Amino acid sequence: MNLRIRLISIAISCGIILFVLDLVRRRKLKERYSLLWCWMCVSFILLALRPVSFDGFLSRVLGVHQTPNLFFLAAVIFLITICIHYSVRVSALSEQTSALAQELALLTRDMEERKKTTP
Amino acid sequence: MKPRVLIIIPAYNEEESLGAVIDRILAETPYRDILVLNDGSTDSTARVAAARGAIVLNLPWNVGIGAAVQTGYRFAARRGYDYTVRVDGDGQHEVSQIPDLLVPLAAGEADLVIGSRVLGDGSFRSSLARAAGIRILAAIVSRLTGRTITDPTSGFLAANRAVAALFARSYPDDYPEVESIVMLSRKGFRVREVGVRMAVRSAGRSSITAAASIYYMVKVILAILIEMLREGES
Repeated sequence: MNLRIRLISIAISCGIILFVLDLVRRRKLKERYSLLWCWMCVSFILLALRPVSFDGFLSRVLGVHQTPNLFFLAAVIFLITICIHYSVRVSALSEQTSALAQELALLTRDMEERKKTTP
Repeated sequence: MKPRVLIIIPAYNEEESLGAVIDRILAETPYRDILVLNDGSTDSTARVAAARGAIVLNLPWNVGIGAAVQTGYRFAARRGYDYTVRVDGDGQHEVSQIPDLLVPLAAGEADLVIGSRVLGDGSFRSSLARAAGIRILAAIVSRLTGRTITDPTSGFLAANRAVAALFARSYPDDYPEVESIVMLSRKGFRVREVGVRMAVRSAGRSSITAAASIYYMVKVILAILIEMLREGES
């Protein structure tokens, strides 16, 4: 892989890490979610840094002819995994919000009845 | 002692028909505890219900039919009702038949009674596609539960205390009827059907449009197949 694409990947990865950390600093993003993105960027930096021979070896083992395709493969797998993880979180959150809505409706009724009986 | 019966009506923007449904329950049945689950309506649904003496639970936003109905079962479980009857707010169910649904429960012959429109007197009119959908689901549910169920999509249902307690804990969220029947039968509850006449809808139409019906079929079939894969946890 040529030097230019390596430098570009490293620069973009560093940029994303800084952006993510800034989001955490401004409390827009929770640490636990930021870790996922930092981990992704670090692995991309490592991929960009590793020696050429290793590069050729991995590509050959996986049957990938051009090394940058390895990047795409890794990125796509990572993104799909993270999307599924978010779907799981969203499912849990919607379960929790509807339980809250139900409880709110039930408790409001209890409260109104109590108000009526004890003037 | 007379059993305590709670009528559960989930309602989302049903101001046009809900009043008549409640009036008819009050006029034609002996039941007085009517619970309206106002699922984030933007019209006067809550006022219409409260004006007639119904207990109104206002969900703070639209939670969908499954969670709305479950709120009703939670209410019933907490207040110790013996039987709960779910009726739609659009006036399609003939409320004078509520006592018929309660007969098998009172006799201890069933835990959940479905008011089947298919077993009824033929007053149930639906499109060809809809009838076919119900048939397919009925065939799947009958096969899975090992007993003949003709109308698993019916929203006219009576449940005893044990079923209400289970539904209070766990109830499917959208299009819950079919899935809940499979769930009950997997847990060993007895499900029975009673034929019902249909009233003419006084307002509104089925909440399921043509485009949504394909999604409905796919989602419900997926849901019941997954329900079969679940461990028999309580």
